[in-house]
Amino acid sequence: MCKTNLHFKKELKGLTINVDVTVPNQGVTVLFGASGSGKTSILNCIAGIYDSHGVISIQGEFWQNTAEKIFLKTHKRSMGYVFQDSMLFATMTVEQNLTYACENKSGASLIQLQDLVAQFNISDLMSKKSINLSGGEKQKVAIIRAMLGTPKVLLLDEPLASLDNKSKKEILNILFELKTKIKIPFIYVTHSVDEVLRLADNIGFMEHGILSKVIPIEKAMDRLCSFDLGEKAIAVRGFVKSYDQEFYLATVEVEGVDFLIPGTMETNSFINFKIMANNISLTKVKDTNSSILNIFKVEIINHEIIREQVYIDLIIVETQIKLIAKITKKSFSNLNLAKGQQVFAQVKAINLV
Amino acid sequence: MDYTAVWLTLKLALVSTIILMLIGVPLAWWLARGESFLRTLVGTLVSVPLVLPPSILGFYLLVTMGSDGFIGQMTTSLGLGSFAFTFQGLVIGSVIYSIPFVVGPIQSTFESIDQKILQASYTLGATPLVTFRNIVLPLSWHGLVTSMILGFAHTIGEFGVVLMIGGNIPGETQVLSVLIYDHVEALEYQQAHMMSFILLVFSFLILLPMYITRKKTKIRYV
Repeated sequence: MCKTNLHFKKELKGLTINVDVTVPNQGVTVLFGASGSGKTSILNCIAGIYDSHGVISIQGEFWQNTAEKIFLKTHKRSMGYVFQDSMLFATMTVEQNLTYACENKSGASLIQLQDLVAQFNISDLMSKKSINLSGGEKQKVAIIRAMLGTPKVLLLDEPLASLDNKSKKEILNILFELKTKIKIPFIYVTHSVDEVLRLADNIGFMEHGILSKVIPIEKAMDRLCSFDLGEKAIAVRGFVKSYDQEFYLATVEVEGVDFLIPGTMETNSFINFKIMANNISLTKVKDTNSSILNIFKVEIINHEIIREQVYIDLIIVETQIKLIAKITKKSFSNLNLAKGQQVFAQVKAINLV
Repeated sequence: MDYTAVWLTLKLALVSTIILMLIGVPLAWWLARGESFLRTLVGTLVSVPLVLPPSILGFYLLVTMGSDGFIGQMTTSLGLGSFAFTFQGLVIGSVIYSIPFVVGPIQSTFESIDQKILQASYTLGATPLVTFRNIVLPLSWHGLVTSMILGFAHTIGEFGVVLMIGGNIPGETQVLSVLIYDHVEALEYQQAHMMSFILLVFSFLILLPMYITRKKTKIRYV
């Protein structure tokens, strides 16, 4: 299957966009970078809103090839584009917004409108004017509108940036489910590490307009952890091996180590999750009578004291999986911990976002 | 009361407004969509009647549309005859005279529409024409109505251009404003009063809905 090739340049005021990557044809590819690094401009070039110089071929279809004077106008590029500020048509109802998309986009929908409406839980909103919706509702409609028809690529420009946490979480979960159902590349622009962890399969780090590499997310975990996660934490990508419906618990394998994570999850899929330093405690003896499900034998690599708290770098024995534990100075001294020692790490909670 | 002049005035305003809208909407759209030297030039030219004394405009039109003039020779060779002192000539003069009042409001309405809302429509596969019809026009109706009212009212109120090109032929080119002038010259103040008052009330009534709806409509995006 032909890949999605993006090799183009665009001169903007004070910034030169230079893109030279191949994007996998499935899953979410995140463009990650600070504001002003040119992420949105890249989406605009792909969409044909900006006229750039070079090649844009989506799943083998040339949307642009400057050398051969090919340039498809925006309305001829089969895509879905979710803008940061939803851009619904204010004079129309939700239903009219969606019908407008159905009428103008070519081809039968990859996913039926009613299925999307059900999944996003917006059936009550259909007759409302889009101006009367909340931010989260607007963005749900905007995402559905973009997914209708037969888009060859879905472009999402910080779709959750202006939403409250509850809406963010809800939409992230739906997008996570949809990315395996809709087999087209998602190109997702964000500067939120949480969104990256929840959705990304691949990531491209952007700096000063340059995007030169897209790498699998598992190879970017260390780099991602250097960004602000709210608290020291590690991020891991794992494979959902099995799901126990009775206990609402998934077994997720990382490098041969099983993590038990609560929540509904599709088996045989990949998920990213993070473990916060303050959710890990250490014991010298394995406590088999604990409510904690995830207990691993770890080796102490290093420790540092930040704001009177001890952060201990750990590695799960016989693997490369790193963990960070945050404990008090008193516990550190009571347990007599030192580099090279083997102890047990109890993971109290694992966060999907 | 001479209803011939009233009817003629309304007919002139109506025909001129229709032509103004047909020219004004695409012209305003083109002017609103970007910047170029040609746009600046055309934009300035469209605005000239705003500052030019109507008599000057009328004079030039009379000269060019007369049988010796450039336009007059063209229309004569096409078998249409000269437009000077005809209803057609009045329409042409009115259209040129009122064009800034029509193009201006439409242009600023179009300019106030966020490009991104159009781009959103294009990304949904809608062609520029479909986008214009379904997205731009519903967002611009207030500007369009304003332009229509201004174009109509302005044509009714014109005097200098009409007098120059049209002269004062009852039933053909004698519109209300010219007739009022006639009455005043003949010291028939009562008739002048009546017609002036009608025009005053009419002008007020026609502008009223425009200002009532102005506050309520703002172009909104979500």
